[in-house]
This record gives sequence, C-alpha cells and structure tokens, in this order.
Amino acid sequence: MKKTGVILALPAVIFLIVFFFAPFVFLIYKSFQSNIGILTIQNYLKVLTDTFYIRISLYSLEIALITTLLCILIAYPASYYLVHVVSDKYRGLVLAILISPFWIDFLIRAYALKAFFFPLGIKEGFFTLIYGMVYDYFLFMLLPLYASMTGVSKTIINAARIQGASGLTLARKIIIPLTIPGLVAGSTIVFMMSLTEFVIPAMLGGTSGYTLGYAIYDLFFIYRDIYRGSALSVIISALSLLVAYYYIKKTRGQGGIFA
Amino acid sequence: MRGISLDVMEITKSYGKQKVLDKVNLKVERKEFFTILGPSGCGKTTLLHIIAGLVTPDSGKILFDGKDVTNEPPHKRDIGMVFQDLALFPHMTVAENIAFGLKLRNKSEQEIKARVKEMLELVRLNPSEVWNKYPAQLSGGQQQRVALARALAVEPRLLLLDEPLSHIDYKIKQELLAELRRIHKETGVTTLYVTHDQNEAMYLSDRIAVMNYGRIEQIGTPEELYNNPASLFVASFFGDANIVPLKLIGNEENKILFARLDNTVIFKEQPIKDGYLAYLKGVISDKVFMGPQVLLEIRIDEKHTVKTILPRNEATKYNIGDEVIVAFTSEAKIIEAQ
Amino acid sequence: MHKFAWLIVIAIIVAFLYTPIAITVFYSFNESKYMTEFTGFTLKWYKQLFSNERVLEALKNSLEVAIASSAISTILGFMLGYAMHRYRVFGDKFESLMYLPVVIPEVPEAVSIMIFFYILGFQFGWITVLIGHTAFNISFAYLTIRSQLYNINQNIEKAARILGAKGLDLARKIVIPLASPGLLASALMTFILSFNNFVKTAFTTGPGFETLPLLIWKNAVRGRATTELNALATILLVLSLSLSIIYTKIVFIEKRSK
Repeated sequence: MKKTGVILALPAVIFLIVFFFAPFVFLIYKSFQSNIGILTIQNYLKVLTDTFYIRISLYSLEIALITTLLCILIAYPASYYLVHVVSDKYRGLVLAILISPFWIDFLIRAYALKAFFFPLGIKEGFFTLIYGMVYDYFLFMLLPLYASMTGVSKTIINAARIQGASGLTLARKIIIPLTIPGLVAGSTIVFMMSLTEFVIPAMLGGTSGYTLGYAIYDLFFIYRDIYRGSALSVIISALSLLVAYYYIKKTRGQGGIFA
Repeated sequence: MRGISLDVMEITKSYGKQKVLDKVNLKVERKEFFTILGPSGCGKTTLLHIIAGLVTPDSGKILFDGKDVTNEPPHKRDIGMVFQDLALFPHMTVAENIAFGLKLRNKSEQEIKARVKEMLELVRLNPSEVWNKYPAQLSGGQQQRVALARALAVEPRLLLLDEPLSHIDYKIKQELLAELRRIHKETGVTTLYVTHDQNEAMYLSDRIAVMNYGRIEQIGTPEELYNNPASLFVASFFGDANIVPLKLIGNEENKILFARLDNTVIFKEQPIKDGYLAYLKGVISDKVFMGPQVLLEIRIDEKHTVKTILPRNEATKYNIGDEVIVAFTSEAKIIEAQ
Repeated sequence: MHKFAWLIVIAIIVAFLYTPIAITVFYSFNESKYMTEFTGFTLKWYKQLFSNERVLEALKNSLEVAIASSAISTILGFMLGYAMHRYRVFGDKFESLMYLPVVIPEVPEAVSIMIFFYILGFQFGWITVLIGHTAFNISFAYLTIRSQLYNINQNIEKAARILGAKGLDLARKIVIPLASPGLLASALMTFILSFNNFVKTAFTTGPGFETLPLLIWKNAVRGRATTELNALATILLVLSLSLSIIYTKIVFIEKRSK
C-alpha cells in the first residue's frame, strides 16, 4: 500500500529536489566562492559593509514599511465590510471583485499603472512607486485579515455595542485585538515580499526605483558578478525563510492565505 | 438475503499509547439484530471499522460464519455499511449511488435497474421521483433511506450501521427506527448497529453489548440489561435509575443501592405494609410534567436526589417542598461500588 | 457606521483597484500613439499586434510554456496530493516544505535556478523557462489540490471500498470526480501564473525565446506607455480576469454544494 503512495509522490518530489532545493545549494556554494574559485566569505563582507548596499537596504526597508502600513489601512475596513457589513448574498461577489485583479501578473499591473499615471501627468517617482506597491500587495493583507475577521462573531460585536462601544472604541478594544493573528500574518508577508520587489520599482520608480531586488538584477545582468549577487540572494532568502517560518506557525489552522 | 454469524475474538487495538479496544469478544447469531451501545469515545466505531476491514486490529480475529476474514480487504468481505454521515457519493444520482456496488460486481444493466428499483421500494422511496436526483436535493430522512438502500443493494452477508440516526430530528428518527425494524424483518440480514442512544438500542435490538473504555461491560437482551445490570456503568447508562450510596441508609460502606424509577415509590407517611428494601426521608425539590406521567425529584441530602415517576392524577397529591418517605421495592438491588 | 458610508469606502477601494485597469483598456483604443489625449476610437493597434511576427511568436511561446507547465504541475501535484492524502507518505514537516516555493521571494529563487542551469551547462531557452515555472507551480498545484482532497469526506472513500471499489476504480470513480474542482482550479491557476510570469522567465530564458511579459518589459521598463503596449496589456488583462471569474465560479459553486 505504502509503496503505491511513494511511487505516486516520487515524480513531484524529485522535480522539486532537483529544480528547487538543489539550485539553492548551488546558490549558497557560489556565494562562498571568489572569482578565481577559492572558498571565501568576502562576498558577504563586501555586501554587508558596502555603504551602497546598506543605503539601498535601508531605502527598501522604508518602502516595505510604508507599503505595509498603507495596506493595513485599506485592508482593515475592507475585511470588516466583507465579514460584518455586506449581506451573505453579495459577500462572494464583493470578495471576487476585490481578488480578481490579483490574477494579473505584477508586470502587467505595473504597466497598467504606468499607463494610468501617464495621461494624468503624474511623474514616476516615490509616490507612483508606493502606489504600485500597495496596489500589488493589498490582497496579501486582505486575505489573512479577512480570515481572522471571520473569527470575530457578530454576537461579540453586538455584545460590545450593547455595552456602549462604537466606532473607534469598537475597533480598538474588540476588533483589532481579536484579529492580531491575521494582522501579523498579513504584515509579515507583505513586508517580506515588498522588501525584494523588483518589477514595480523598475517600472514605476523613476529615479527613486533603485531597491534591493533591482540591485540583485544589476549584479547579475549589468556587473556580471554572480558571487556577490549570490551572497545578496542568500541573505534575502534566509531572511524570508525566518519570516515564512513565523508566518506558517502563526497562520496554521486559522486559514492563512494558502490554507 | 444471506445472513451470516459473526465472531469477534480477542480484538485489541491501540492508537499510540491509548488502548481503544481491549480484548473484545462477542458473537452475533445469524439474522440477529445486535447493537453495540456506549458513550462516544468508547471504541465502538473502531470496532465496527475493524469488522468492516477498514482498520486492522493489533491482535485478535474476526470470523464470518466461522471463517477467518481478519486479513481480507473490505471489498472482499461482502458487507454493507451505513456511515454516521451517510457518505453518499455527492457526484452521483440516487440510482447511481445504489448501483455503484452492483456495477463493480459486473451485473448486467437490466439486473442493476431492477435491483435499484427493488431497493428503493424496500426503503419506501418513490423510484420515479428520486431516481435522477442528487443526494443534496433530498431531505435528511430520504438521504438516510438511500444510504440504507445502497448498503443493502449488494445483498450483504452482514449489515453494519454506524450511528446512522444521530443527526436526525426526533420525529423522523422515530419513523426511521420503525423502518429499520421492518427492513430487518423483511431481509433477515445479520445486522450490527452502533449507537450511544439507549432508546434506539432498546427499540431495535435482539441483543445489546454495552461498551465502555474499550471493553464490553455486558451482553444481553434489553430486558436482561434493564433488570440485571452487571455493573454500575451499565445500570446508569442503560435506562434511567436511582443510584444511592448505601451508607445513607445503613452502615455498609462501598455498597450502592440501585433502583429503576418504577422500583422507587413515595408516601406521605411511613407505610404500614412492609416488604420494601429500604426507606429514606426527603423533600420534593422538582416536579416535571411529561405528558401521561409526572417526574418527581426528591432531595435526600445536599448531594443526593432520587427520581420517581407517577401517573398524572397521583402526582396532584404532591407539591414542591412536601416532606415524603421514599421506599425502594424488592426489585431494587444492592451492588458493589467500583 | 452608516451603510451608505460603507458603500463609499468600498467604492473607493474598488476604484483604486480598477481605475488603472479601465484607463489602460480605454487608451488601447486611442487613435494616437501616445496617451496625452484621446483622439478617437480605433482597433488598429490590435490589428497591428496580430500582424506583428514578434508578438505572435511571443504569444505562441507564452501559451506553450503555460499549457505545458500547467499540465505537468497539476498532474504531478495531484499524484503527490493523493499520495499524501491516501497513504500519508510524509509527515507534517513535509507539508511546511511545500510552502517554500510559494513564500521564497521570486528574485532569489530565479537567481538560484539560473546559476544551477548555468553550472550544469543547460541550454537556456523554452525548456529552462518551463522547468523554472513548473518549480513553483508544483507547489501551488499541490496546495490547491491537497486542500480539495482534504475536504472530501473520508467516509465516502470508505463506503466505496466496502462496496467493492479498489485501486484505480477508487481513483477514477470517486477521488478524481470529487477532486475535480480542485484539479480545475489548479490547472487555471498554474496556467495564469506561468503565462503572466515575468521574473522567473527573465532569469531563465535564453537568446531567441521571448514571452509576452518579456516583450512588455523590454518596451516599457524605462520608456513611456504607448497605445500599442496598452493593447497588448489589455489582452493579458482580459485573459487574466476571465480566468479569475471561472476560477471563482468553481470555488464558490463547490463551496455552496457542501
């Protein structure tokens, strides 16, 4: 019995080992190699001490933070509306309307924004960059928050109302504390993904578009320095792994975005 | 239909450290309606799954008509089963559901059609009405009937029913209980029924096995279990009963007085006629109207109450707060406390 | 808050999401090459696109890779999902590993597979792109199908086994029909993820192999939006949105019937 199972599982597992996990071993190997082939930690030292990379890291952090905060600001009312305001009949429809644009790839959405700002005469720069980031990552905040919000029952809200809570008090004392897991999950994933985003800054950032993701792209395609490029990639991947681990732990069993 | 005898011999099963079944033995006779009764988590469903071949026991044997089938896969056992949640195939029509097992047995198209119709009539569903419907389009009671028809269609040697009525409304449940009795009589298939509901068990069964913590506490006819429970657990789980520590009456420690409600009577004053097992003083603490009868609750002390049932006109003599004498008839029993 | 106030809040969010899309579509019908003003309605940019060899070639490439990747990842994802569901070949830790291709940022993932191909001397082209896409698609397929299988009542399979079904019969008559919404959802999702993908493609493609997103990137990254590009983007937008509607329908119909 078990043998049949192993045979069924094998093709996918082998594919992933060879084409997903093995490449990361190669990446790590390259990140510890110098251009004449000796093992070294120079690549990491160079990346971590170079003021240029420190500066763009800080800049990418700033962008990621602002993006995360704005996503929270939009996703909270939206998820509250979806769970507690809209009628059951229209919930599916509204949810579908909010989710549909995320079937469009980042690049095409970024292009659509470009085509949107241009006739309006808005110059590409920090503002359009942030707009694009929020536009692209809003869903990753909405879904975990929505999942969390479904856990806050109408009865609890009504009970709080009867006790006299309304508006901001209701939000601060009841809704936000009860949706912390979704908030944490959404924030970590939005923060992490926007930290290394590369398409949107390139398409919409204008002169403000040089971020971490772009730096990696340049290291490979412009400077042809795969060693330093690998080191930077390994650092970012390791960071994401930590965040992902935390994310999965936080969202397991309560409907994270992929549950 | 064919009905076989079933032997469950020394069946033991553990999940991790937890022993779910501990050396379970029982024998079901041909054409018998046999019920396993126990609270949830007592191991009764696991036992049923072992008999079906869905779960392999750690040790012990299952015999069908004396033949060892312990290592046979479910599809070779020739049994029918109705699950607690029915498990109808949601993507198939009623007819396709019932025909499923027949098709796998390579029956001809005509044979299958005739059999499906016969089964629908057996469970009193109108064939032309439900034939092409999907399970989701049927009411709970109708789904129940389809599940039963599907299980019976393959002419099983043994029918297993896993709490099939636990999610059904009271009225439809009464209706389906009567149907189950009738269908068992008509088909004569050996039936093993699992439930936590003593009323269902009493209504349906030739014999009942009461289970607790993976062990069988007692096997017997409903009457035997009611009159002579072998343990405190059986006494309290099967039928309503008053259970009073004997030290309230005499000095005997570790003994318990066990009396069915109809073996418990009350008087305004100490009765002259003797022949009662024991007397207790108490105060009526509650009075519940139950149709033709009235349930009275009598408080003995801070921790203990007893209950009795009176016909409606008798009960008018008693009110909450009245002091009464409780007497236990000679049918009440004194058993060891565990 | 008043119901009307809520409607305004949601309208603003919907406008935030859809205005750029609407503007892009609108200007794809513009007479003028640039978008400073709308000079008149025309379909000429679409005609031009469909007579452009390079665009057609890229469309063909995108479709081929997306269909192949969707088929491979859905089939392998189902096999793995079924193995996990029915035989429990691996434990919970394995489940967490399957999230990795979904959560690791695309750039490092793309870089790693590029280095891998490079060191092993692969010829960069459609096969490397296909492998690259499938590497993350398998995870999406698996997670989608696994949750569908998870939702199938286990007793249904048991009932079928008792009635005599085994092996292939069980898969064909019970498991695959019941998992079909998940299989379809997975096929759609992996198709669109591959068809639209830019980052992985950019890092794994070779000379002469161009997809539609690459074409947009090359023309738009540092330059201006043009009407012709708008027309191309519109085609991709409409395709994505229609697939999303089908997907949503499947998911919702499936949820309702439970």
